[in-house]
Amino acid sequence: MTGQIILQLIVSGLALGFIYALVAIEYTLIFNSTGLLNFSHDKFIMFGAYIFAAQFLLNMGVSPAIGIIATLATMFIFGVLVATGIFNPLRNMASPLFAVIGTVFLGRILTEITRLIWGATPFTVPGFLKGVVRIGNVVITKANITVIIVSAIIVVLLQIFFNKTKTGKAMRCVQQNKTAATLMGINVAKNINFTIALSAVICAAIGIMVIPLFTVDLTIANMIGLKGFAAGVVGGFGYLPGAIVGGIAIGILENLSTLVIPTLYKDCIAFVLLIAILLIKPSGLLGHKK
Amino acid sequence: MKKKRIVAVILSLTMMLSGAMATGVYADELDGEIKIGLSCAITGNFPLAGQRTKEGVDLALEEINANGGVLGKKLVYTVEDDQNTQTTAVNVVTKILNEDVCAVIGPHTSGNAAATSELYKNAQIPFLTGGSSPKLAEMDNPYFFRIRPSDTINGQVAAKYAVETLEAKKIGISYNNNDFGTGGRDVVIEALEEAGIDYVAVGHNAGDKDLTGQIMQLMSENVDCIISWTDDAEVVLTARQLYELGMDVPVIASAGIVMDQVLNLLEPEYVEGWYAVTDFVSTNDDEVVKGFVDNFNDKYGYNPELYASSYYSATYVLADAIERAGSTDPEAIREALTKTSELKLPEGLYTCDESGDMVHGCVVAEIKDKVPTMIDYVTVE
Amino acid sequence: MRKSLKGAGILLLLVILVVVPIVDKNTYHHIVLCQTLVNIVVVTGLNFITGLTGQMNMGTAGIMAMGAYSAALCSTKFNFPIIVGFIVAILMGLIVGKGLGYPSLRLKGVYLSLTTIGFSEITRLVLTNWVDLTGGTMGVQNIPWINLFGNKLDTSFKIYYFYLVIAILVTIASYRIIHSKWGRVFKAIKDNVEAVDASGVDIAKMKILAFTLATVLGCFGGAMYAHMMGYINPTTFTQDLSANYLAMMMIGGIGTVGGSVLGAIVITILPEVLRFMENYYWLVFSTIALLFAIFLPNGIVSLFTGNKLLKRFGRTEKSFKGEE
Repeated sequence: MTGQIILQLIVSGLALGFIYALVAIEYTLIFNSTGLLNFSHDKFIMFGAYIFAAQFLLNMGVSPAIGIIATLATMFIFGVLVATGIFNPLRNMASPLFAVIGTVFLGRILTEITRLIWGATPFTVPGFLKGVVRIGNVVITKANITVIIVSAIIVVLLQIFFNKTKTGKAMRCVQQNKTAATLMGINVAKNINFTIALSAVICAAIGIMVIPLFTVDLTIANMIGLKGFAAGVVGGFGYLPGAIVGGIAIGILENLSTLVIPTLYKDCIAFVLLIAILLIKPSGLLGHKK
Repeated sequence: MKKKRIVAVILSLTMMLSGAMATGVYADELDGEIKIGLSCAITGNFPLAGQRTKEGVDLALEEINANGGVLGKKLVYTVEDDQNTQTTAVNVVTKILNEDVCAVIGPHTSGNAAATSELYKNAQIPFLTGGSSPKLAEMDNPYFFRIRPSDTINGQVAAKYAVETLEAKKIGISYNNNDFGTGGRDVVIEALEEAGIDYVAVGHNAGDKDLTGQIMQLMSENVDCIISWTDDAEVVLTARQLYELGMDVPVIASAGIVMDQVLNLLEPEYVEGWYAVTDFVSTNDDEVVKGFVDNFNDKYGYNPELYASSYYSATYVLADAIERAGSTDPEAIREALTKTSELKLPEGLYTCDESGDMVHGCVVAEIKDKVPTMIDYVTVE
Repeated sequence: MRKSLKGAGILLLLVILVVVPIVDKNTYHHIVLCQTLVNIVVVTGLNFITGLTGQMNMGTAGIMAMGAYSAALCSTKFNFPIIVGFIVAILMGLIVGKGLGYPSLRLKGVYLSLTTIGFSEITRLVLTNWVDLTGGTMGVQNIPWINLFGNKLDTSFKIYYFYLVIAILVTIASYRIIHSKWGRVFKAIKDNVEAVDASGVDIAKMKILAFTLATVLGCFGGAMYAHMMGYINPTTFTQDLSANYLAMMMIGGIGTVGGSVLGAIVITILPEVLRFMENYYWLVFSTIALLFAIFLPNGIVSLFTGNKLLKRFGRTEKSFKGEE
């Protein structure tokens, strides 16, 4: 019995950990290219989920496959727009504070827009990615399996993109030295727009995949948004494979913690881990040096 | 440089202008009206409750005014958004209290009702809230009236049902760690200890997205019945994960589960055979409830749920009290509210007791194929 | 010329702050003004660490919660006089300041902001779950009114003038500090930490000092909040609150006392003023705040002074990512 419980806790933790990991990847992308933390990233995820579920599926009645493509495309355009209108001006400000406040208020604006357009009633998409897979006595949802596969694909694609394509290489160059990049003839602003659009697309993908797990409401991503920040640091800040390791570590540890501490303190684990890592080993679990 | 200045000037102009416009609104005073206040969460983390509350009150006011109003005058309200946060609730309640209202409905949650209780006491204006925490009745505020069953009632009924009807030997209590969940948990625990039944209480925080740890704990304790005291989003999660993790024991859930907006989030098999202790079921075939459900459906196109029903009823309770008081003097209305007796409304039978509680019974419902059906109405003294 | 204008502006603001509650008897306006004063105290503190020294502190909610609960529990649970509660809140500020200050020696930029977020979240979770001490989710009720030389401050009108005095004292003190050697070192730490190091100033000591100033005022503001509200619960002290304080500091004007005061006034009062827009007021408020961040980076205070404290463009990469 106990063995089975531990196994189930690990599997469920792993599943949730991959969601944290994707969140960490999504904000790390923006951080690497602009040096900004996107404090509205949880609202991006929420926005993506609403565009897919409320707009395309329920209002317009398109099939999920088309809905997903349309949502990702919409979020790409949305990403370019906010990058041009908000992130690029904020990036050049004298203090990072402006970017923090700017993105916080962008998040609040997104929440209000969503509430005014699609209403405050929580909803779900019946039948979408519902159901579980049983391996022996251990249970995992189909949605979680999808998350794991998609995150693996995203990480591989990103690695290929950054190392093999011209745009990707240019993006890395921009990350390292903006002045040099400009001298090399790289359009930094355009490059950053692309990165942010990419991040918005990943946010939308997260939003779509968590619909069967969480209820679609205005606070759908609040908790994973905060813990995703922790995941990115725990694995190794600014390093994409580290995000995966950090996410999984937090997911599994917080679930296993329920065996020894009251369940109510489970949510502290991510933040305790965050502070401990920052103080003891700031380079993260993987110890990656930039 | 110049451009920046211009934008700055425009910004400050907008602010001044909006300030000027805001002061204009206060001048709106009309004769032949009786004004009440309404504080509910229109924005913030729980906007749906506020929306439904407002819909319920709107419908009640429409009906009341169509039937000749109160004391021959039109009953109107001034509504403010409390964002479901303490600071804002205190602000808007003070704002409402400054607008010549004779009574106020809201704020809704127990925490915010507690935060604003003192304001009402000082202003000597009665308020009607749906905050269900048993602790509210202990505040000893003569201006406090509760228009929903307190969790003392729901909790006792749930515990009694689990022990007597379901014959549970060991009960798992899954509660949300907020004012609502812990209040309910305490009542259930007290009732179970009285009955000498074994229990284990496992909590989660509001906004949690995974309850595997909690459910595994209940499983390893071999409970044979679960009482779930939690909010809308969390009860959905509880239902899904209990089903997925294959925990097949009877579940008695707190009020929210019977609402369409919650049931719509679930697959039927998640909650098949669940019981609920609740204040309002829209499938109730009681005539008063039926009439309300039909009218609500005509106006908004969907069924009412417990927020709408609570605050619809609250408006009627208040109208009734003002009518009996024969004046809009808040003290007279308070007197009249304490004498409310046997008033039949969709939310239940309203009789005020000495602590301000007005509803003393609740519905036990069973959910079959996502439709909650009333199986019993239990009154608790 | 400019100096006398500035003096006139401050005098005008003071006269407005003193006269308005006497002329305007609306208690709703009084309570919003009281909150404004509490916010002025907290933002003035935050300005030391984030505005001047440039260390990203996003845990103001947690700091305030520590102060509010210290004061509230002292006077309700342990029945100490209220003044003791305020002193305990200040001591709590000193402890938290040291506790948060030390990580800031090792961590910079976003690392520090994430640490302070973590601190704030843990504080909130502990306050929610340590029911025996904090009353859990039902919070602390019946926090007594402040008793000042036998006068019970039992209306927001009376509290207002007491808090106004506190806020003025805090503002003057903070003005003096900013224009002292400390203030210059704080600014230097933000602009050029190597130069400060080379000149033999103990950076660690100064950073902890700046943090402590922020946490003491934050905790003190929390205590003021608790005694004004008479009731506190953990749901008040969320990330949203921390962000609001940063917004006040930024929208007023980073690094200046005047900016902190104006920012607190605008961000506290503006949403209340916009309420007539009903369903849209929060959207409009958020949009105005975002536009401020993009188009008025030197804050409202720059409209009056034309002071170019911050250059809008040309920050270095280094100051941002916190790498050295």
